[in-house]
Amino acid sequence: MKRPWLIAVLGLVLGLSGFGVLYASKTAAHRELCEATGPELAWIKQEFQLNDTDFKQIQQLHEAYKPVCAVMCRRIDEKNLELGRLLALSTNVTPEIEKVLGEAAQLRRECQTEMLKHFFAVSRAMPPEQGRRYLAWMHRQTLAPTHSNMLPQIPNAATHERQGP
Amino acid sequence: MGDDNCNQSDETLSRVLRTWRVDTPLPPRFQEGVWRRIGRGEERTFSVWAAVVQWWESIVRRPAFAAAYLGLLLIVGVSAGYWMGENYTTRLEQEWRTAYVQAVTPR
Repeated sequence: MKRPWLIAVLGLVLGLSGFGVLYASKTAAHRELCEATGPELAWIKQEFQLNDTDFKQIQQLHEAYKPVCAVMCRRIDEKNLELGRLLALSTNVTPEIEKVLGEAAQLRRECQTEMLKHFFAVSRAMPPEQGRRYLAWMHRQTLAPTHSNMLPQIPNAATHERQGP
Repeated sequence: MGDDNCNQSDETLSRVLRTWRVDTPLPPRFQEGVWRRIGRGEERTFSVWAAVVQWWESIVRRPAFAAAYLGLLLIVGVSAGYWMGENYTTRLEQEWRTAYVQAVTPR
C-alpha cells in the first residue's frame, strides 16, 4: 500500500538532489571568485585567465586608480551641473557657456588620459597576448565613438531643481 | 396447532396493512429533493484525485515503470540544475563586466 507513495517521493527527492548538486557545482567557482575578489575584478581575473601574481598587481593598480577615478567623476559632475545651470538661464550660446564647454572638453581629455594610463598599466601587468586583448576590449567599451559619449551628461531639470542651488 | 394460529394472525395483519392509507401529504417538491440528493451523492463518489491515485498505484507496481520514473526525474533534475547554473553564471559574468567598466570609466 505504501510502496507507490514511497516511489513517488523518492523520485522527487532524486530530482531535487540532482538539481541541487548540478547547480551548486556549476556555480561554485563563480561564487568563490566573487567572494574573493569582488564583482569588479572577478571578471578581469576570469576573462584574462590571470595567475595570482598578475592578479595581485592588477588589484593594486585598480585600488590605486579608484580614488583618482572618483575625483574625476566628481569634477565632471560639477562641470555638468554648472553647464546645466547656464543652459537653463540662457536662450543663446553665451561666452560663459562657451567657456564652460571648453573646460568640460579639457576635463574629458584629462579624464580619458588618466583612464588610458590605467588601461596601459593594467595591460602591462598581464601576459602580452591577454594585455592586447584587454586593451582592445577596453577601447571598444570606453573610447569607441558613439553619439552619446560625445556629449556631456547634463542632469535633467527635475534632478537639478531637487539638488537646489 | 401453533402454526394455524400464526397463519391466522399473518392473514389478519395482511388485511389490516392492505386497508392502511397514508393521509399525511408529502412536503412540497419532495421528489425533486430526493433526486437532487441522489445526484450529489454520485458527484461525491467520482473524484479526479481518486482516479489519479488509483492509476498511480496500479502502474507503479510494475518495476520497469518505477525505474523509468525514477530515472526520468533524476535526468530532469540534473538537466534543470545544469541549465539554471549555466544561466546564472552567464548573467553573473555580464554583471561583473559592467561593474568593471563602470568602476574604471569616469562618467
